[in-house]
Amino acid sequence: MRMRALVLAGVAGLLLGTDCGGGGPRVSIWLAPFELALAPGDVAGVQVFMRTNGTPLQAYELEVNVDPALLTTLQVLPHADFDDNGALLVDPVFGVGTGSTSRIVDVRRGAAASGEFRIATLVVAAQGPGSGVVRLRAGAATPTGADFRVDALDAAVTVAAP
Amino acid sequence: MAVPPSAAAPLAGDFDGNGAVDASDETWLRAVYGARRSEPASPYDPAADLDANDVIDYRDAALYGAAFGSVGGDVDVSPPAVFVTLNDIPDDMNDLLVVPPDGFRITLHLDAAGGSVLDPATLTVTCSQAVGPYPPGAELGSQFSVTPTRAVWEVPTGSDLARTTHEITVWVQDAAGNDATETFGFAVRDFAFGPPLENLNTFFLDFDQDRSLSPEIDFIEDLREYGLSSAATPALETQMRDRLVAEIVARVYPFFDRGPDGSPGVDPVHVAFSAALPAGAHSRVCVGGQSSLGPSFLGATTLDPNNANETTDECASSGNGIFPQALDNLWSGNPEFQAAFSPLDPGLGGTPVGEHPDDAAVMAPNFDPATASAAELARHLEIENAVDAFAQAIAGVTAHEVGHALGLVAHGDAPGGLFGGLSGGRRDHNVTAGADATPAENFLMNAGGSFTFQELTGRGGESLPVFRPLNWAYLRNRVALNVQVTGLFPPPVVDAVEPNPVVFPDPFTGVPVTIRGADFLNDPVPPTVSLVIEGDPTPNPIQNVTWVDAETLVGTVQPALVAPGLYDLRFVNSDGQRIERVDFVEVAGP
Repeated sequence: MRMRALVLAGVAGLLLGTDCGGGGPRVSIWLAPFELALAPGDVAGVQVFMRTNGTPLQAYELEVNVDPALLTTLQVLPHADFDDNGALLVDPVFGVGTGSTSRIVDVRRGAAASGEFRIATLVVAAQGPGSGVVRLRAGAATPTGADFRVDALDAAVTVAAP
Repeated sequence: MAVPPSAAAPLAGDFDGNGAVDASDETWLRAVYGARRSEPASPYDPAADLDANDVIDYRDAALYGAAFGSVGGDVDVSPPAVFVTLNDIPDDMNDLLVVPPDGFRITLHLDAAGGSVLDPATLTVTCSQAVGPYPPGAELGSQFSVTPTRAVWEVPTGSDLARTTHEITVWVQDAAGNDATETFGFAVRDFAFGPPLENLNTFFLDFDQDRSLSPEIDFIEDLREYGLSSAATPALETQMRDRLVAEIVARVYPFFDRGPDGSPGVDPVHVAFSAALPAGAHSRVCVGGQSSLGPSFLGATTLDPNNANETTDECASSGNGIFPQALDNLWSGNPEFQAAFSPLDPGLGGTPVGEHPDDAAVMAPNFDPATASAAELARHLEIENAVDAFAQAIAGVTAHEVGHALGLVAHGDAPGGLFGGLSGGRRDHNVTAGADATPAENFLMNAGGSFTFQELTGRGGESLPVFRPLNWAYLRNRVALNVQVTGLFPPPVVDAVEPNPVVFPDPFTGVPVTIRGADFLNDPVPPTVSLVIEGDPTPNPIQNVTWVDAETLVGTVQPALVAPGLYDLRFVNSDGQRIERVDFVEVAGP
C-alpha cells in the first residue's frame, strides 16, 4: 500500500449546489481536495469543510457514501476545528445497497461555530479502477435546534488503472 | 400504576439529572441517538427528545451543546414510573388475569416521569414461581427486550409455569439513581378446552349467494345500489365484482396482522380467508344483501365462546352475514359517505360504473393515469375513492363478525369473560371495565351502532379500528377464560399426609387420613385430592375430602380404589390451583 500525501487545495473549493436565495440559515459542505486522483492501493486523508452564512452551528450529522468498487472508508475522524472533545457518534462502515456509508455526529460544547472550518477527516483507500463520486449528505442545527439548509458537494474520484 | 411525586424541572440537556449539563450527559445522549418514537424497538426516551419532534437527532444534540456548562438546575429526585401488566392489557382490565402456562407476554411500560432519562440496563424482574428453567426469584430482566419506554418478554413455549398464583416484581432506575418497584400478580391455568385459536381458522367469504331470491346475486345487487357497477355493462360489472371481492379479502387480513395475501405479520392471528370454496375445514360467512333482522344490520354472526365450533355456517340463518345494503341506511347523511359515493350512486345523483362515457377508457387494463385526460383522471379518482370506501367498510365489518365467530367478546369481566356486554346493542361487544359503556377508543369489537363511517373506514382523520389488547391476547391464545378463578389466592402447600404409610387393616376397610398444609380453600367446594402411581395415569381419589380449616383436610383412602404402592399426591384447590407431591404417599395392604 502506498501512502500518498495530498496537498490541500488551500482554497475554498468549487461549490456545486445552487444558492436560490431566500432566508434562513445555510451551510455549505465540501471535501478538500474536491477531486481525488488515486491509484489502486493508495490511502488518502480528505478534509470535510463547512461554512455557515453567519448563523452559528452547534451540531451536525454527516453521511459519507462511497462506491465500494472505487473506495473504502477506513476512518472518519472528528476535527478539532469544530470540536476537540471527540465525536458524539461514529457509525462503523456498513454496506447500504450498492454503496458504503459512514456516519459521524458531532456537537460543539458551549459557544457555537461560525464561518469556515473543518469538521472531519476521512481516511479512504482506493480499490479498483474507475470514476465516481464521494457523496456527502448532512443535517446541521443552530444552538436553538433549528435546521440549516445544507448545500453538500459530491466530490469526484478517479482511481487509475494499475 | 404508581404516581410519582411532582417531577423536578431539570435543565434541558441534563439527561442524568445531576443539576448540570456536562460531559456525563453526552454519554446518555449517545445511547439513545437516532431513536424514534414511531419505532417501538428503538431506545427512544422522551426525556432526551429536547425539541419534542419524536426523534432524537442532531437538533437535540445542538440544544444539549448550547446548554453545556449550565449549572444550578434542579437535581432529579423523581422516581421513574413502572406499569406492569400482561399482554399490554390496561390497568382497568388486568386486576385478575388468567394466562396459560406459556406463550403469554409480560409487558412493562416505563416512564422517566419527566426527570432524567431511564437507565434500561438497570431493569430487574423476578417471579415468585419458576418460569421454565429459571427458579423462583431468578433474575429475568435479561430475557426482556428493553427500551426506555417499554420492556417485553414472551414466556417461551414449554415453560410450563405452575398452575397457581404468580407474582412478578420489577425494579428500575433512572440516570439520576432514582428507582421504582412494582409488583403484579396473575394466575396460570390450562385452557379448559385447548387454545381457542390453536388450529388455523379458515373463513369462506361467500359472495355468490342469492338469499334474497331476487333475479341477481346479492352482492351484485349491492354493487348496483352504490353505483359500483351497472347491469348495462356486464363485462365491467364482472370486472368490478372481481376487483371488489379481492380488495375486501385483502383488507380483512391486516386486522389480524397479516399481509393482504395472508402472509404472517409480526404477531399474526391464526386465520385465513378465501372468496373461493376452501378444500379443508372452514366456516362460511355470506356477503351480500340485507339482513332479515332489519335494514340497519351491517353484519351479524353468532358469538362462539372459546371458538368451540371451527366450522360454522353463518349463511344458514338469513339474519347472519355481511350486509352492504345497510351502509346507506346507516350513513347516507354522512359527509364522508356522500363524498365517496355520490359520483357513482344513482340514488345520490351519480353515474354508475359502466354508464359514464369515460368508463370504457378508465376501466381498460392499459389505463394510465399519467397520460389520461383531465376528465378521465377525474372519473378514475371518483371510482377509486368509492372502491376504497366500500371495500374498507365491508372488510371492517367482516373482521368484526369473524371476531364474534372466533369468540369475541365473551360476556362479563375477566377472567370469566373479556368484558363483553350482556344486553342491548352492547351484548357480545366491548364494554368498559366497571361500566356498561362502549369504549371511547375506535376498537373493532365495539357495538356496531357506535361506529361512524369515518371510524369504520379510517377516513376524516380517523385511524382504522383495531382489536383492543385483551381481545388480541385472546386471539393469540395468551389469556385463558376461567370462571373458577375468583381471586389471586396464595399458592396452596401440602406438607404431610397422616398416617403415612397408609396401611389397610383388611381388604375392605378404608383408612381415615389427615392432609396438612396451608392455604386450602373451601369456597365453593373443598379441594380434590388424588393419588397417582407411576405407570398408570388414572387418578385415584381420596374419598369424602372435608375441609377442616385452611391447614387441614380429612378424607378416606379406600382399598377398593387404591392398591398398595408408592403414590404421587395431586391436589387441586377449588380455584383450580394445582400442586403435585411426587412419591409422597405409601399405601400398604394388611
